[in-house]
Parts: sequence; C-alpha cells; structure tokens
Amino acid sequence: MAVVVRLDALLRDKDITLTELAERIDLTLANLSILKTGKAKAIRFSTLEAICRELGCQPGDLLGYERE
Amino acid sequence: MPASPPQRRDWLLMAGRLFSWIFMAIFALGFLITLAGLANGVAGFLGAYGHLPETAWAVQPDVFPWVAAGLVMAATLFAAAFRFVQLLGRIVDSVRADDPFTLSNAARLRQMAWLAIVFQLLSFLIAWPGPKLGELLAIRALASGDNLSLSGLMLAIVLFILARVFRKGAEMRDDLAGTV
Repeated sequence: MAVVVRLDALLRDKDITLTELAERIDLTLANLSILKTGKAKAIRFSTLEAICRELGCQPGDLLGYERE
Repeated sequence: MPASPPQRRDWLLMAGRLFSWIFMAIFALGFLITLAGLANGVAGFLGAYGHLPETAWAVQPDVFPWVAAGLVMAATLFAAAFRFVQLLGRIVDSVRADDPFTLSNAARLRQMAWLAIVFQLLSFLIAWPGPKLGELLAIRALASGDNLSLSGLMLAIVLFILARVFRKGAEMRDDLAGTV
C-alpha cells in the first residue's frame, strides 16, 4: 500500500503497548491492529486526532506516503 | 468487520421469525394436501379406483382438467409462498445478528422479487379458468372473475429496488469494515 502507517515506531518511542493505546483512545484492539498492519482502508479524523493526542505527535509522524 | 454486540431481545424480530415458521408450516401443509388431492384426482381419472360416483370431479370430463389445472397452480403457489417466507426468515435472522447488509440478503430479495412475479402470473392464470371453474362448481366468488390485482407486480418492483439498496449497503459495509 502506498500510504504507510508508522504506529509501531511511535509506540516504541513512547514506550506504550498497542493494548494501552487502544484503551486510551477507546478503539478496539482488533481495529488498532488493522491500522498497525497497514490493512486499514480508511481512518477517521477522530481516530487520527485521538492517536496524535495520546502519542504527542503530528499526523505526518503517523502517516507517510511511499511511491510504489 | 467490527465485533457485533450481544444479541438483544427484539420482540419485532422474534415475532417475525415466529410468523415465518408458522407460515412455512402452513404453506408446506397446503402444498402436500394439494399434491395429495391432485394425485387422488389423477388416479381417479385414470380409473385406478374403479367406479367413482358420477359427482366426483375426477370422473367428470368437463370438470377434471380445470380442477387439475387449478390444483397444479395452487401447489405451485404454496411452494413459491413457502420459499418466499423461508427467504424472509433468513433475512430476519441476519437482522437479529446485526449484519443485514450482505450480498446474500441482496440475492434473497431478488429471489423474493421473482417469486412475487410468479405469484402475479399465477393470479392471472387462476383468474382465467376461475370463472369457468366457478360456473362448473357453482362457486360464485370464482365465477365473478373479479380477481385481478397488480399488487404482486408492485411488490416485485419494491423488492428489486430493495435488493439494489442492500447490495449498495453491502458494498458500504465492506468499506466500513476497513475503516478505523
């Protein structure tokens, strides 16, 4: 997929587990895993906002674009 | 696909499911009785029972073809009605499982639409021998010939449109399944 999700790296930097993040942003672990593994088709702004708030990052830190 | 919430008690859906079972039983019974009547009539017509009374419909050459045709159409109607209610019951089950917008339900609605067209065609066919049969059997309601209605056609159109709605819903559901 051309849009890459750098959630793994952000979680390592902030020393937070996926499970903890899921609880903090009120998203199921299953859905967050879908995002982490790059299988998500779309992300809501509300989800993006919640992740950036908890991880103290910008949307551009979480999402990137790589030309295929 | 988001995890569905636990099934809650929905009286409307439970009533819908219960009625579908009841009507399936009624239509199945109607189908079997009609087939049995037809089989008996054909056997009588072919002389399998020896001498039947003159008043028995199976031995009256004027009456037998019409009644037999009517029974065949009635059996077909019962079978189609059974299938219609069976499909409706499966749609109700999917609503109870909080997952109604599927391609399976779109296909079921299309089948139900075709069955509604079958009902409409059969109603025209039954209306055709109806007056003759009514005259022969002295049944006034049949003899009047006022049995035509286009409600089956309208139902078919509605169901075809609903099938399109559900197909679109299934596509949107698939999109939503990948949205976080």
